[in-house]
Amino acid sequence: MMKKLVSYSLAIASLIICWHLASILLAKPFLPTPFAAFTGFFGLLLGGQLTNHFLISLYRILVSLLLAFLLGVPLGLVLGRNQALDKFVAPIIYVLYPLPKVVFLPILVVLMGLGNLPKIALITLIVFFQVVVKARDAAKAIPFQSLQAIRSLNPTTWQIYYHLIWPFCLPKILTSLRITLGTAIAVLFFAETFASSDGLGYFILDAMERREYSEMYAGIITMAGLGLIIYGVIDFIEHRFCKWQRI
Amino acid sequence: MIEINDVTLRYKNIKNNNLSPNVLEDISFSLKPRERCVVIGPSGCGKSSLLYILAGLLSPTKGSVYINQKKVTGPRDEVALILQDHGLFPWKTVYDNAELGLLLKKVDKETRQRKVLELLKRLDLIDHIDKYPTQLSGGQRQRVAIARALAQRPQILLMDEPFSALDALTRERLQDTLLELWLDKELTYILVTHSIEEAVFLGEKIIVLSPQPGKVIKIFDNSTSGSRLYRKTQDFYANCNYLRDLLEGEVK
Repeated sequence: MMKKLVSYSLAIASLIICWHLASILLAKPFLPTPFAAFTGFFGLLLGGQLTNHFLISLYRILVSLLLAFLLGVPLGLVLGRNQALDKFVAPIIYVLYPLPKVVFLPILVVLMGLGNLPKIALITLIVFFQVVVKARDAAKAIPFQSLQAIRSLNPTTWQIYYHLIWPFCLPKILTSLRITLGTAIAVLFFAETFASSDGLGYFILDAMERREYSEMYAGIITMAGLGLIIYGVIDFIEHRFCKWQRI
Repeated sequence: MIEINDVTLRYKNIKNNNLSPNVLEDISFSLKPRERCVVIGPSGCGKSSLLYILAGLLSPTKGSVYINQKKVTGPRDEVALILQDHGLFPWKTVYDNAELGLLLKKVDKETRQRKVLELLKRLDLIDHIDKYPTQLSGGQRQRVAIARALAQRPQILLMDEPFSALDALTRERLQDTLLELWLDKELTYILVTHSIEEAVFLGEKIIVLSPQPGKVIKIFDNSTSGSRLYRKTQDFYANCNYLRDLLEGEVK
C-alpha cells in the first residue's frame, strides 16, 4: 500500500513538473501553471461549484459501467459456451461492434430527452459490446481438462457457470472494463457537451467558452480524478473477488 | 461390479460427421468390488478415453459399460475421477477445492466440513487449507485432488495418470498413500498409466493395451502386489520385466 502511494505520488509529481515547464515555455493564458490551475481547482472545490457536476458525471459513468457489465457478462458467457447460439448471434455482434456508437447520440437525445438517460444509454452501449466480446472469448478459452474435472462431479449447468466459467472469466472481463474506461470517459465528455447543462463535460466546455482557463483546468483535473476513482473501484473489485490472481 | 463389454470408440468429426478410425477396439473386462486395476499402454492407445467412458463423460461408439448392474450414461455419484493435471481450480483454496464435489451435491455445511477436514488431515494438507493451488507443490496438488475425489465417498476411483508429473520419490510416496487409502476405504480403483513400475506396484489386475487402436493384449494377474514392501521384492522386478517385454513386443 505504501509502495503504491509512493509510486503514484512520483507519477503525479513528474506530470506536474512537465506541465509546469510547458506552461513557462509557452507563456499563453490557455496553459496556466499547475499552481494557478490547482489554486483555481481548490477554490471551486471549496466553493462547491464543482461538486454537482462531478457527482452527476460519476453517477452517469458508474451506472453505465454497471449496466453494461450486468447485461454484457451473462450474454458473453452464454455465447462462449453455446456454439449454436454463438453462430446465430456472432454476426450481429460483429456488424454492430465496429460501428461508432457515438453517432447515435442525436437519436438518443431525440428519443430520451436531455437528462441522464441518453448519456447513460450511449456509454452503456459502447462498453456493452466490449464486455460481451471479451466475456465470450474468455468463456471459449476454458481448458478442456477443467471442464472434465467439474463434469465428472455431475454438476448442474448453473453450477458449471458459477464454479468454473464465471471465476475463470472475471479477471479478463475486469481488464477489458479497465481498457474501455478511457473510451467511456471520452464519450461521457462528448455526451455532456452536446445539448447538456450539467456534468464535467459541460463545465469544461462552458469555462472554455467564457475564457475562464483556470476553471477549465479545474474541470479537467476533476475529470482525471473521476477516471482515477473508477480505476480504484475496478481494482477494489478485483482485489476482493480475484484473490488468487495476486499470488 | 464393473463390466465393460465390447467397447469400441471412434471420434466423430464435428464438421462432416465422419468417424475416425477405431481409438479403442472391442475392450472387454470386468472388475470385482475392491479390485485394484491398472490400464497400461503406449501413448495414444486410448487409455484416457477408456477412463472417460467409465466416468460417463464420453459415450462409446459400440458396446456398453455397467457399474453395479446399471448402464453408465453419465457421471455417477459412486464414481470419482482424478485427472492428470489434478483438475483443481486456481481460484479456490485447498479447502474449497476439496469441498467442491460435496458442495455440488448440496451436502450440508457441517457434514462437508467434517468429511473434508478429516481427509485433509489424513493427507497431510491440514496446514495448507487456506492456500491456493499455485502455492502448492505438485505432490500436494495431487493430494488435494485425491481429497476432493474421496470426500464424495466413491466406491470407484478412476485416475488418469495421476502421478506422472511428479518426481520419483513423491510419486512413490503417493502410490503408498493410495494403497493405504484403498486398504481402509473400501475402494475399487482403475488407474491409467504408462509407467511399468507403477502398473506392477498398484495393479492387482493389469490390462495391457496395444497402440492405435487400443485392444486388450493381455489381462495380467498380479495378485501378489498390494503392500508397500512389494516394491523391493524379486517378484516385483520379475513382473516389471515381463510387462516390459510384453509392451516392447507390441510396439515393434
